[in-house]
Amino acid sequence: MTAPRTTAGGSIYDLGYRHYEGARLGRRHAFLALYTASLRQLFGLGRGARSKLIPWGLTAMTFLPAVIALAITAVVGTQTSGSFGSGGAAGGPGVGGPGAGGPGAGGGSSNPLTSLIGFSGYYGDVSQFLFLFVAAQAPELLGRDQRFHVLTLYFSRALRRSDYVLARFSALATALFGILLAPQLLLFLGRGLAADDVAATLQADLPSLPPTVAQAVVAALLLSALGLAIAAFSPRRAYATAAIIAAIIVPPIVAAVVQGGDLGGLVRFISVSDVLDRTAAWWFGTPLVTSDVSTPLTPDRAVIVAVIGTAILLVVLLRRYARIAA
Amino acid sequence: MAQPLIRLMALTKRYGAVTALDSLSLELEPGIIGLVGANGAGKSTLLKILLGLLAPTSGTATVLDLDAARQGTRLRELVGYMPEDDCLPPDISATDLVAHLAQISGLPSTAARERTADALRHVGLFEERYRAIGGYSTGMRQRVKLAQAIVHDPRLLLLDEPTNGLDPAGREEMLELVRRTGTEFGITVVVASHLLGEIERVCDYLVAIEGGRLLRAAPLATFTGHTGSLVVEVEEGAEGLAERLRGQGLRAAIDGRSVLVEAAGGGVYDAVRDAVADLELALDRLEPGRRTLEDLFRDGPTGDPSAPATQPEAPPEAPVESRT
Repeated sequence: MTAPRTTAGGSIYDLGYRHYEGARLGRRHAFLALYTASLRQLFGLGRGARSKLIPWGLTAMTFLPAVIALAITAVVGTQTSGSFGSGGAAGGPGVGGPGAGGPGAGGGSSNPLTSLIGFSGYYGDVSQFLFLFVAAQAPELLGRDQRFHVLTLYFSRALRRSDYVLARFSALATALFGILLAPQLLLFLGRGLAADDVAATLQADLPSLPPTVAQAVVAALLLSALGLAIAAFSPRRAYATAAIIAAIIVPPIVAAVVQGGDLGGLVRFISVSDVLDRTAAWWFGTPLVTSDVSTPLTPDRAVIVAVIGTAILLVVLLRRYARIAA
Repeated sequence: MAQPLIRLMALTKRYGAVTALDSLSLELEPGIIGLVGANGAGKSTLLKILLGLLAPTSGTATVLDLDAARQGTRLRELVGYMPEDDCLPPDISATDLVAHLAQISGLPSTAARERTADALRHVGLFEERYRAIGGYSTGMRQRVKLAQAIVHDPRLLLLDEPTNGLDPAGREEMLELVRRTGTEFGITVVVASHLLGEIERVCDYLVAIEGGRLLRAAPLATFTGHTGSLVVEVEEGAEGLAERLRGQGLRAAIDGRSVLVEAAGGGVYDAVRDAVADLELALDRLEPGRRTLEDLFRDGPTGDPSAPATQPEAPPEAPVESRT
């Protein structure tokens, strides 16, 4: 009785080849699959602890200002009436917009520390961590496939070269957008829920959300395009990381050294950190806190530079992959 | 069949001044097709055109009723490709890689995982498939490369030098896998190789190209058969053996430790046996010689006039033949 069953059980290892009759979802599915896999790769999901250390460490750092602000709110914030911390960035006219202007002054004076952490200055507070995230993880997305010739396996499938590039780019931009916006959403909700008057506080903070999202979008797109455009030309991860960091920190240093001359002002046009500081100032309508306010790179020009810069870097990236051997 | 599986019409590919493929016209029906040619003959270029990865300079390639140059993405859903070079990332497991690539071929994620298990089992990767590829042997890596090429159940499989870098045992196993893929799985396979001796064992149709030109395309039977020579490998003393056999009126040539003897009649085996015994040599191997790629080209249009004498059934020089 049992003997034939054992034989039958043994034969499961010899099913023979089975043809696939199911759906073939084509290029769009291939794009989404690569996008999803890239996001997982960026955060080290499905990989060892070492792959998670840098992305999650940097993500934690972007949450730090929000967590500090909320912790202080929890301890002392509720003692003051009205909404708290609407003072925004140093010298800013008020994150909460016109509605929060009045009570904001009171809250800010009672607790100067928390008033430093608001929406208009949040990008500036965490921008270094975004730079590090791009420098560390953009090479992760591109370098391995170039170094080990994995591109051949991608390009011989239901995918175009441009699809590969845009899926990788979208994933990195999504990751940056997420780690910049998520802590600010936490701050937004946390402040509301911690306040005596939840609805009024949320409503007072609401005008800060559109510029917050706009800055997150612009920063995510520009930094992703920059990081990938550089990583595409240096398969070695360490070199790519160093080159990305250099591309971000060298221009402002040069600008500072030659400060005063016309050249210094012009160099700021290719300084990603200067451009993004000014786009933030543009969205929030805050004055610049940088020492070099006389530069021709005004906030309105910075928005245009960010858009054009992103486009140019994307073209460079796509052209590189249109020609790369695979 | 109304439409051949692959149809090339005056296919030409130039890289600047270099002509990689020169006006190739060919029709291929399902089966296991060997694509032979020396390194640089244009094999890899042809495979990439069949995948729609390279655009031909002129002419057309129609594969599975799709224009390879214009419908490449659609075509590549139905074609599997095993590249010649190493192309595997070291830090992820075979299972993860193949399942991911199956999705890139258009398979839904559940199907991708199921087919990955199937494909890896078929190529003979079991427990090790969960380990990172970086620790794999060359043989295992070649199996992963084959698995990723069949995971989406392609209708056409293109293999570029699948035995590259393998030891003799690994080559045998890979060739057996290729043969099974073609016969049992019913997938049409194009195997490119510069080693005729290898692919003549698995394919049933042969396409030979040289310098980007089509040399011959015909069923295997018209190409091969034994060369009409014997390979006698001895421990040492090959020179003495060759001399002795020549003394008996046989044509014998030295090839390393082996003596190649032209086998004109049935008495040759006896002559070799007696000569080896008389000289008290240690006989390692005695087997019919296989035709090599060099033989194939020697028999070709520009060939050595003495060679065709041993091949009375050699096909006429008309290179393009449609397989029926």
